[in-house]
Amino acid sequence: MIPRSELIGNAPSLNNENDSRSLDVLISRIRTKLGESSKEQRHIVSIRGIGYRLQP
Amino acid sequence: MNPNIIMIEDDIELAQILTDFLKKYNVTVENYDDPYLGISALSLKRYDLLILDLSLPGMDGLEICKEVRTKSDIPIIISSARSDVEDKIIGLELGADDYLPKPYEPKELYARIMSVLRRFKRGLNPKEIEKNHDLKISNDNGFILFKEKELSLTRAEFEVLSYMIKKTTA
Repeated sequence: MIPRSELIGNAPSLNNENDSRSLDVLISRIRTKLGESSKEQRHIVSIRGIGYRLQP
Repeated sequence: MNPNIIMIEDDIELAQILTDFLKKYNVTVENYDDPYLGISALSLKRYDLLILDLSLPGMDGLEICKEVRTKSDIPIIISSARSDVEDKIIGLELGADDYLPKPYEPKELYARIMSVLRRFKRGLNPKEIEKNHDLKISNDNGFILFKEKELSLTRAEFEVLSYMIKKTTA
């Protein structure tokens, strides 16, 4: 599991915005590109309030 | 583990005996008596191991061994009535993992299969395991592959996803 703050901190493009919601939007866009959605989480699993887990 | 095996053997009767015997141990065998069909099946499907006869119609088993090795690291057991020690040496040099001279007891073949698969599994390094993932970072870190196809990502999406992959597969 990777905490939200760690993901934001390691993505320079997000760092500037320092906006937690931008991360959710990004994850949602990535999910779409992987053919999944927030309801059908196969590769990126949300851990509510904490972060995300990747199942590569 | 239920191994899925491909066999290239032109003696159909022997192939059937071995297939029936191995089935009792939950080992599935798909036999091809035509070496060309066997090679094409190997490039289309995923198998855990190849059992290869040497004296085949139209193509020598040693040539098959050499050709398969250029494309794949699938474990290979040569099963042959050719007793020439040169064949054995060449086979092993060409990348076969074991050599079983005919005639043999099916039980011995089963034991060799399991032994080769155990060795192969131990030898897999993390990089090779990573190959089984749907998501991978290209060697030059320039893009992300999803099911072997390049994903089109914005800079920010790439940063987030590549960080997740590195962190998870490290």
